[in-house]
Amino acid sequence: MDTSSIGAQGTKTATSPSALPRLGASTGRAKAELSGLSRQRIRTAWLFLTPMMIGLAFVAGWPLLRTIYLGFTDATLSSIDSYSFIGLENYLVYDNGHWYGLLADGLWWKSVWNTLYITVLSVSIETVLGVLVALILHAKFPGRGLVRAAILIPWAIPTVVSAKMWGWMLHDQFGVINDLFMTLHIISEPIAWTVNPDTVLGTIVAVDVWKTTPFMALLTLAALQMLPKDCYEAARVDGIHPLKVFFKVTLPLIKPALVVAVVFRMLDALRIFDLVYILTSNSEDTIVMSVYARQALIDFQQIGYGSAASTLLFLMVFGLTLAYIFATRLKLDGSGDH
Amino acid sequence: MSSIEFVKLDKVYKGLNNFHAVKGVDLSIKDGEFVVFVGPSGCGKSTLLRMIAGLEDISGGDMYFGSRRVNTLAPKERGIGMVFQSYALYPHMSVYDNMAFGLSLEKASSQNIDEKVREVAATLQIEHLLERKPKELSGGQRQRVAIGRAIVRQPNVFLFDEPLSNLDASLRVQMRIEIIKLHQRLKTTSIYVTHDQVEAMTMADKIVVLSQGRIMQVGSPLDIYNSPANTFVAGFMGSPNMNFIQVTANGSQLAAATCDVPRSFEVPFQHQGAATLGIRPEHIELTPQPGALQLECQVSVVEHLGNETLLYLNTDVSDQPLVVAVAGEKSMQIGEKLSVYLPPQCCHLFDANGDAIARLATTKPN
Amino acid sequence: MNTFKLRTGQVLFALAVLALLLYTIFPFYIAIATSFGAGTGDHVYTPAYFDLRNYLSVFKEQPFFHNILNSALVSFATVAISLLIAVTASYALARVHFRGRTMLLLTVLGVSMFPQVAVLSGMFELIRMLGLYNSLGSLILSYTVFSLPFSVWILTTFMRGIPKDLEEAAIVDGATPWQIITRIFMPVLWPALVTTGLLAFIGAWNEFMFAITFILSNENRTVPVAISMISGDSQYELPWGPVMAASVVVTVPLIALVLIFQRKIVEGLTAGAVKG
Repeated sequence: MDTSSIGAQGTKTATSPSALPRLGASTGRAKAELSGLSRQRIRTAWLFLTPMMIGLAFVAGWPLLRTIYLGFTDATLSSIDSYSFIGLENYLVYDNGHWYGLLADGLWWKSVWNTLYITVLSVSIETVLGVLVALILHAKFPGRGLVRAAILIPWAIPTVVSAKMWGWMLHDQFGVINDLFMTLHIISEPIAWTVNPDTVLGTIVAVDVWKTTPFMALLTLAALQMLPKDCYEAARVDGIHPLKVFFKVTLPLIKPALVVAVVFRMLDALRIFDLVYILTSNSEDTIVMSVYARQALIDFQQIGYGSAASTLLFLMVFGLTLAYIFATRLKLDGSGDH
Repeated sequence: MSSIEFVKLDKVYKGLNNFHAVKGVDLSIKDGEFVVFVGPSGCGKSTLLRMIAGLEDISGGDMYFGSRRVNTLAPKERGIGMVFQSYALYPHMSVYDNMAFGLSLEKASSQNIDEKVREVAATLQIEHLLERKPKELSGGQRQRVAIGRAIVRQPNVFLFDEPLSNLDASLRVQMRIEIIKLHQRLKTTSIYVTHDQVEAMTMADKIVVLSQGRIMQVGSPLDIYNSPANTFVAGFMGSPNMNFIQVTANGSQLAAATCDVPRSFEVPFQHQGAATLGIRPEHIELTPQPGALQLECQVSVVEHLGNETLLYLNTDVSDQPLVVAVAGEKSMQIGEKLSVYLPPQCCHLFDANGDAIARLATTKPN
Repeated sequence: MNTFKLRTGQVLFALAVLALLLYTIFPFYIAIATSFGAGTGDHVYTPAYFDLRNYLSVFKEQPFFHNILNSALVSFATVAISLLIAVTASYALARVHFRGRTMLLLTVLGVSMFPQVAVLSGMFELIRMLGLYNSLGSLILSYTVFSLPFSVWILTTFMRGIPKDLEEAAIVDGATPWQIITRIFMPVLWPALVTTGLLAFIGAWNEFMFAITFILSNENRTVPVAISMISGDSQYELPWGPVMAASVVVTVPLIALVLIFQRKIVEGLTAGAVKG
């Protein structure tokens, strides 16, 4: 029997559990020294961040601050170097029995309304469409890769090009849309889609939906592909109707991704410019905030007034971003890498 | 080559609950020793290894390589080589480049690099793989390359972080032997982290058993096996696990705590009050022994492992089944009654805190 | 019965796919057809002639070739500079723990949400100050800064995905952070770099507002502005053939990129949004 060594040597018993509580105090000891590694890494990290921070500060932060400041001045494009501070006059001023300024301008409010109208309508439609398209692309069928590439095309082409393309297709005399709709007896006579005040906003929404649905669809598709397969197999084994599975299982699971996509698209839609500018330039029926601000800045050369309008647009976008960040408590602290 | 000394080493991860991963660890490792850190996951063994590597900051205490305090040194200044659990080979580099990377950063001449890489490759028998990419290698080959990458810079200390846990069983045994042979040849101080007690027992000169950030016991493999310092070590090391029976001690007389009829049993210990009696499954006998405690049991489960048979027996001295390992094949019926014998010289006794009670010198066997 | 159900399902599904394809591709088909004369006379949907007259007229009557070169130059420069800055910045943001990291990431995210018009007047000043007005430099500068946030964002996501062991192996081997980036991370992350670069390229190639504001002369314009400026004899009637020809020319490289790198683009979009 191998018992020869039992009890022979004194084992080097280290701290036994019972003797330990006193060591708990060590947490409060003097500040830990960072190793050479940590020090070097933190130093390098800031060095690596410097170009980005300088870039963002000078080419994004500074211009933004200038824009906000210029919004309180009477600067014009021709006298951009000499202007005076006029307080809130660009926003609202009472003079001679009349209110003047941005907040008293009906056209500004029209641009706000149009922007919101386009944003809400466009984002809702493309969300529904995007989910549908994603469901189609989620199924396995021959040529799926090609179809997926095809739906990326509207997203990839320049907005200017898509605006021109649709502008041509929606042309009142030669456009294929009128021809198609009349052949199909949907309309009885040609409609000037981009001019008629009744149709023009809807037209912009339609073109925007065409261009941005792919983005929505692809983000949704990515979320779909990350879903666990087993709960679908379980649902199939239990014989649950596919529609019910979609609303009870799929939709709740992809909701977080969908929310992100919706917020990204909303922020994008609030800034809409190219499409409106090209498709219906200078039309008051379709004026949006970006167009209004740029018109004031460049076309009317009122840097101060235009800056005030830009500032308001920025505040809207900023507010929405903040609301989103706080609502979802974005997990930014890269879990898992330490 | 280098000895290593820890003095009251602490590691606290700053965060919401300030996780205290390593708590006041004192340890000295001799030059050329092969030390294995073993313990359940979360015991702090990997953290300790990474502190030696310089990959984790030291929150408190001191660490010395030889007489040099290394607390604030960067990993590359410490002269270490490390083998990672996932191998962490650079996926875009050939085996040759993987091994040469560290040397090339030291601006060694390409002839020098070539010599060293080929020499190490020859030692590890991976010369024919030098041009391949990691993804073209098997698990065992990747492991060799990872070891080669650590060796090639001739470090003072080798660190192994569970290097064999991703290999299948037979390969693990083979690589284990190769690492031992390598250590015998290079005699470099090595620290090896594992949760596998077989690796710990077979490879170590010295085992360090850790639990919840604290050292439970330091000793040679046989020390740890024969004289566990506490119930944690006794239960953790050895397979199947040691049997524990709650007892009351009166001098050298023990009585089972759960048993209605106290059965007394004389052991070579002196203690008063509640205690835990421990005995390894392989030390329990089926034949009467002089002075042994006889227990009446009923077979509940039989496991045939081929080289031995494990019997799970219900007794009236404990709620837990008593596990007995019998060499060779043993046929038993479920429900069969039998007697087993616990030789006193193989018993361990632990006090109410779980610490081992010293064996009386007079009963030193043989 | 069951097979019938299955078959109608398949037919409906095929129809849905077909409708989807038609919806996405039809406008582009019309653009191509128009560039070959559709929309004139009896030819509503089909080309009227098969020669390159509209394409030739675009290149003859405008400095369109110049515009394409400008766009290419601006886009490539934007990609190169923003990748260079983004790679180092995202390494710091993804792999190093330091105080203020979350704040910085939030700032980066915030900047990527800036409406362009909000910085237009300030940027206008800055560009005049730097003497870049009416030069491609103004566009490279503004595009780089506007593509920087999402490049950093996407690369940070990808960099977090690199196993910690790999970086630590390099640290033990004695690599500095710069060496880790250039010799380990960039080779490992090249697919992510391609993805990020593509998105930055598409963004720069398509940008319109800065391009129309900061550039005055025809020769310095980029293609989106050039297309928007093509005009005919009368103010109200555009020469649709040449406009569509120009559109096709500008779009073809993008379609090629999309077809080749479809998977990578989707990865990038997803990394930027879903995982964020």
